[in-house]
Amino acid sequence: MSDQFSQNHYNQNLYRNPKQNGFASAALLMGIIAFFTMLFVIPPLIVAPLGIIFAVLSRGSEKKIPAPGKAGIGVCVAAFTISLSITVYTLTQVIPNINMDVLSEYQEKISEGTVTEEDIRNLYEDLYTPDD
Amino acid sequence: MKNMPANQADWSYMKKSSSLKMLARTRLTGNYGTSVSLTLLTGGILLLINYLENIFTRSYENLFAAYIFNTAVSVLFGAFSYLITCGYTYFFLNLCRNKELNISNLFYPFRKHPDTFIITFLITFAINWVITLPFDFFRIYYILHTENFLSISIITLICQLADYLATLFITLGFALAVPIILDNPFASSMEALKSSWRMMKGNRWQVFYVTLSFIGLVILCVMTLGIGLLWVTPYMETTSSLIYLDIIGELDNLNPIKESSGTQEMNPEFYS
Repeated sequence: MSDQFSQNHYNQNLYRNPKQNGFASAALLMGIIAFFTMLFVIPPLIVAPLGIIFAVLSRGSEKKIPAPGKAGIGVCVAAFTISLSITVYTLTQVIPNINMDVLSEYQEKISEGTVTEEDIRNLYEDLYTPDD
Repeated sequence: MKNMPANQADWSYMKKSSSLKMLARTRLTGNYGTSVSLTLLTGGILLLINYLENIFTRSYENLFAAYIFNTAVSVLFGAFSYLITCGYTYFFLNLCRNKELNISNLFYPFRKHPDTFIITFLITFAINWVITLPFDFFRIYYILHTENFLSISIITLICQLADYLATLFITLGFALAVPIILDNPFASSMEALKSSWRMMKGNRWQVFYVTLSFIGLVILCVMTLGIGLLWVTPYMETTSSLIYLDIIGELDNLNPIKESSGTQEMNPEFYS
């Protein structure tokens, strides 16, 4: 189906809206929130896509995304990528190497109340068994 | 609808997807507050209806009885959902025409000729049901007479895909029925459906393409656990309303922002 009307033939007034939308600033704000919560894993995975949505909507009657919106997209994508990488690394490298027997032993000691300060000091070394 | 093109050939063009979406964003600017509130309310009502439907839906040992009963429950609750979604469409049609907007637009179909909307829903539901019935029966028959899990999975997948394609074809054909009834309250359901089918000829792929162009945003919405839909759904719905206005030739005559066009004029003679 062809677009028989070129942009020049449009009623140009249709594309004029004096009102400003705050989506560009919202996108940047979401990017900043995503960036500062990057190490908490879950929040940036939700907030960053929301920031990208706001950036897309910030175009309003313009063809291009305004500067704060572009900055928002950049920060959101960066925060999302880093957060996703941390999540994937944790799931594939750290969790499989946890010694589950030691974990069960510690849980039993905690529930019995027999855990000592030395146990807590050695927790990381006992729990995490890196690859050979 | 004064601007309805006189002959069918005039309906087979549409503006570019990007132009329609830009116009949708322009129209929404300054109206996001009301649109998001309405979307939240609509979502809440539809979730409640869905929850009630799930309560009433039951599983029987007799598959046929379960199928009949659950279809009846789906029709009953689906009619309510349909009226709500028609009200939602009415709101965005008003937004595109720069008319007065309020939350009560959502309940407009309950006040004005709800029977026409319900009959339209029943007809489209029946058509969809009849078209997908052979696939459903074939699937059930196959499940009952085969024990191979892999072949059941493949047949189920193929039947569902065929169901989906048939439903898509019908849905696209009747996509304009609701706005036609909203514009012409005196039109009957059949007239609206027939007009929609005629007007969509040559426009189906473009409408499908425009709808598909939102897939990126919808994927992002899924990642936000649905929060993003509060802003994206109004964007999609406004674009759909603009498609309708474009097809009937009213788009170029729309009022610019801040110029009220007054009350919508009805045209009972349109179908005569």
